[in-house]
Amino acid sequence: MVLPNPVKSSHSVWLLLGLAALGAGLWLVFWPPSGYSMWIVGMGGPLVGCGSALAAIQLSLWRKTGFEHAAAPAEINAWIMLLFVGALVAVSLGNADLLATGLSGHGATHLGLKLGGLTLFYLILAHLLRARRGEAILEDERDLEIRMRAAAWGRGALIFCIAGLMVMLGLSPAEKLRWATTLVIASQLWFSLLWGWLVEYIAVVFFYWRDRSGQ
Amino acid sequence: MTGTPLANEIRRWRFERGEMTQEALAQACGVTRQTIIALEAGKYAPSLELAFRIARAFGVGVEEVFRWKTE
Repeated sequence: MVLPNPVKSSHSVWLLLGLAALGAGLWLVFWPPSGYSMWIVGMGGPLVGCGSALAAIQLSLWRKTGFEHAAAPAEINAWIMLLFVGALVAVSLGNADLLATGLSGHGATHLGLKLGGLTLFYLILAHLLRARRGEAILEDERDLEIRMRAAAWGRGALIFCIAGLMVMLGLSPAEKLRWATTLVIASQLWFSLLWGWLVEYIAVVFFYWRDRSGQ
Repeated sequence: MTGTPLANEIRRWRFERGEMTQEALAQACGVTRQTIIALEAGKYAPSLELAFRIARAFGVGVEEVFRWKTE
């Protein structure tokens, strides 16, 4: 069987193939089917990587979309980061019990696969977007200003969480803090960090949206 | 970033320079096209350096492109 050349032939076949592999990979990573061997479940990460790479290459060969003309490259990056951090929050919340009670070898493998798959997906997407943009200007003083203002919001959210945690741990009587094992505190610090990032990227996309909508 | 005290004549100068595109001006000034859009819409006040770059791209003085809104 002769496979179509991914560059010269129809992009849509390869795009659909890539998206199907990506979908199957995400399904295996986030909702691993019970009763299947670890080997099949373990295919999730590589499928996410290969599928997203294939889909992104095909997308990069297509003509630019309307959104790419309307939005600054830094804004598109902020949307991708927001989705990535949102997915990290979702995975972390979905495994909050694991993070609080301790990671077994099996649990750590599952969580590692999920986080690794997500990170791989993000890295491939970011790299291909950078390659697609070529020599174009990716960031300027307006983007830096927006990022700086958003970072202040993120920092504020992080400080709020850390200060709240500090006050709670410092002022609560010891008998009421039996739940606060080192692992639980580590999890709460992780969630504080995610919360700070989430607020920062929400602020970035909000500032871009406000600039464009004229409010 | 909304409500900048600066008004500008970027749109007029682009027209007078043979309908220079926003993309061409952005490339000449080293910024993204979206920043030129934000400037023209009066939603962003440029740094002094960018203001000079824009004026230079049109071949005029900075005060011919930017002015205080109260003037």
